[in-house]
Amino acid sequence: LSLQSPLLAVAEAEIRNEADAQRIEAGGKLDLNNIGVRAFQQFPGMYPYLASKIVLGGPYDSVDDVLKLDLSDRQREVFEQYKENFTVTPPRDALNEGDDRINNGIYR
Amino acid sequence: ADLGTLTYDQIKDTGLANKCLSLKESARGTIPLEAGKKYALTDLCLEPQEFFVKEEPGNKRQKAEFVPGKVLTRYTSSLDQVYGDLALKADGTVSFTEKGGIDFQAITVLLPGGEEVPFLFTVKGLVASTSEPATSINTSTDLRGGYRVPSYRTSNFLDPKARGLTTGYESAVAIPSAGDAEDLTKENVKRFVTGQGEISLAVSKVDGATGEVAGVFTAIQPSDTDMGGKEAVDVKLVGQFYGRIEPADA
Repeated sequence: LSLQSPLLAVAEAEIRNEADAQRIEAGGKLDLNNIGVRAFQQFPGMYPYLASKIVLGGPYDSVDDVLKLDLSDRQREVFEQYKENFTVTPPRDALNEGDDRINNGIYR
Repeated sequence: ADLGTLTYDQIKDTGLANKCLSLKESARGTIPLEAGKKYALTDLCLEPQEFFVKEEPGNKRQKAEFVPGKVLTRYTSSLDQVYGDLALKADGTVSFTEKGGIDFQAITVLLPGGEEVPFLFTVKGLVASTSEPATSINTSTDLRGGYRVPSYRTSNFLDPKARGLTTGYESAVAIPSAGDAEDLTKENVKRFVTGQGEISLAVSKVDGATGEVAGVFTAIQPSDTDMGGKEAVDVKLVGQFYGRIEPADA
């Protein structure tokens, strides 16, 4: 699991907002490598247990990699049901560091 | 003093909670390590005592050097309860891999000129190894390695103009005409800058009976960048560490 981007590379690259870039890349779907646990609340049966397994089990190369986790039959079933809503993009420091995916401090 | 024998009231408001445990001068044993066995380094405590900031020279003839600073966050500067795996690698060197604990602390240092330098002191993801093959942890063991330094602020932080990375405005809305001014891009487009630090842990005291080790550490890592708004400067920390080595289950 390598999350670091060297300082120099950041300084030389074009200045862009990583969160916006992720949203564009994810194309309206939920990105299993960058979303927080609360984003799973819209899918009955996923929050909190399956959601936290998915968030802690990453990063993933493809959506189907989630099925390689230690899941119960019921959890597999639920995940298969909502699979179409998910995608994966590279994990980003801006969204992963500081345990922001477990609790980003926004309660609403 | 043995912190374990003190009560909450005896520690509260004294600054003692920021201290690491220490070993007696007589602790000069060794902790043998066997290849193939798993060990854990637990309760690792890092207490920085001296703080330096690298200052660029005023003229070309001088070299950049570390200037001592005064710590302003003096009751909250230690890392504690850091844990991870300790193992003999295939090449015979000893390696510690950090896994968790209270492994970051936001510290501000005041420089002689009045400048304040904030930085996130951490050992996140540290992998520290000895340079030579070893079969024990003794009083001449040196562990050295790199770690990840995440941004001082996380993505939800709003700056004084309410601009942020994952939230907030995109520019300082009180000056609409300067909203897309190029010289403000660095301030308007927030970035999460992750840096790389390096630490060396020099073991100087070992209690073979209890598995405790203690010594001196030196860490060099980048400071805060104000979410990409300014250049990071190097910060050097020197201090004491303490930890416990025990066989890991499994």
